[in-house]
Amino acid sequence: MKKIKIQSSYLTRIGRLDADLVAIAVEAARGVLSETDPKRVTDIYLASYAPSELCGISNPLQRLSHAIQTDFPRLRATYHGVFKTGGEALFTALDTMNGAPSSDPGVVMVLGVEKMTHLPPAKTAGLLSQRENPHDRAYGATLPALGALVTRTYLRAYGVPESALHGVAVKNHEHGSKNPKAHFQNTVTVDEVASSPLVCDPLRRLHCAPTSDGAAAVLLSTADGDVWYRGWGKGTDVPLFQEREDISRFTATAEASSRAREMAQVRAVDVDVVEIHDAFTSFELINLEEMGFYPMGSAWRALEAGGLRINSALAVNTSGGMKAKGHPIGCTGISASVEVCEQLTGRAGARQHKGARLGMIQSAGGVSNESFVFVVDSVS
Amino acid sequence: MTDHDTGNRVSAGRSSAPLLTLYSCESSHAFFFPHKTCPLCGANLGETESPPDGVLVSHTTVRVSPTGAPFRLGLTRVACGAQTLCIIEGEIGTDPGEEVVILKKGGLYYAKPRAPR
Repeated sequence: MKKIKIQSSYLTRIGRLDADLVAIAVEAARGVLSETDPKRVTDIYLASYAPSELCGISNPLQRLSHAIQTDFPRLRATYHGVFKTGGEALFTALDTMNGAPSSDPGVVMVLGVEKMTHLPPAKTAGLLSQRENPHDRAYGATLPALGALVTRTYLRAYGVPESALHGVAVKNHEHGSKNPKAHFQNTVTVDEVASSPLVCDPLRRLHCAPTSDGAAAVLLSTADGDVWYRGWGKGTDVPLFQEREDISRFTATAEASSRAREMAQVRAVDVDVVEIHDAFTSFELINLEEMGFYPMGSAWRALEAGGLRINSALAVNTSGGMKAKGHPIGCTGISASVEVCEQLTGRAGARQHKGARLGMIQSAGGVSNESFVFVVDSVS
Repeated sequence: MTDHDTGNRVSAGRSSAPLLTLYSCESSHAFFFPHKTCPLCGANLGETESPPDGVLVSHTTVRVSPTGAPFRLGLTRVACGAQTLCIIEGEIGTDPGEEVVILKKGGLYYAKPRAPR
């Protein structure tokens, strides 16, 4: 196994940005290439979920690659993608680098970008639903609607109180308030979360991640870097949501996590920080449990006891997570790597988790139809 | 049995609503969606009929949707284990596990309470 390191990483501001999709992507590319000779980059993996639907870009690979190439005329890379999510792009890049016959697979850029806030929310939801399964779409089943069905079943199956959903939002906003790049840098109270408008019961507005603009990029190489990907894994679930045996379980996450930890030869108790998919606050709890950090239905008890926070035994979503940092879809899986890299190298500022040495990342698509998990370790 | 007024095949069980057409394999995996092969075991699927009686697995009121809102969305399960999304009609309680009757209209499934409230 090759020791693939994060040579450099960059995250744009996440939120409502004036720049267009291409300009946001170029900012991330510039940021990550600021200390590297672009000529050394051999491959670029791009991720963006819905550039054609949301931005009218029918040829995103050409548009993005042309813009990056124009900005960096010395760059001679091969472009791959466009992948749906950052997690998928990162997983593919790592697998390809690790399987390359040469011991030096070169320097690889993985860049994820999304531009979502320029349209009214209802229009954005409608356009995003064009990417959903047509069977679900026929019922008007948006992602929050399916998330609500999952959440109600999960709360009931394990006797988890609804207040646990509020607690995750409060904690992630607290973390986001320490992240200068987060979409939301305000704290919220339990009462504010509990009284926010219902979106799809039991999910309220403050249980849901926002739509955001932003981009993130990492440069991968076997030569330089202070952290490395020690393991990675992918899991999938049955394609039709309604055909899952138990909709309160995310088996794709369990499968991906098991594979990643086996590859890395680490235990859940060894992990210090984890960035996890929290499109809805219930998803953070389910994913934590499926990854083996807590028995099913019990992560909320750790949260109530003061856990899951920065400087507790396991810090979860130190960036603020998708809930507070924001959720530019194509960017999210890669921005998680940026956060874990900053944590493991002691560069996370006010949100630094003391003694962070080993991190995990979980990134999912849809209602955990597919899940990608990565184990990131300090080189030292 | 056949409903003499409509000519539809109806359940001989608790409900007089039309039987549902499902797709099942030899291992008794059953689906509402007309897959060609079983998503669980890969075997061929054949048509089968199911009484329209089911239970509500989960539900929500969708307040924002491209298809118009609000409306109530549910996930229902029939006795053989097959599940489908459905639009909920009528007064259904808040407890999952409530018994419902499932109807197919215009290509979509609808669920209504088995016993009128």
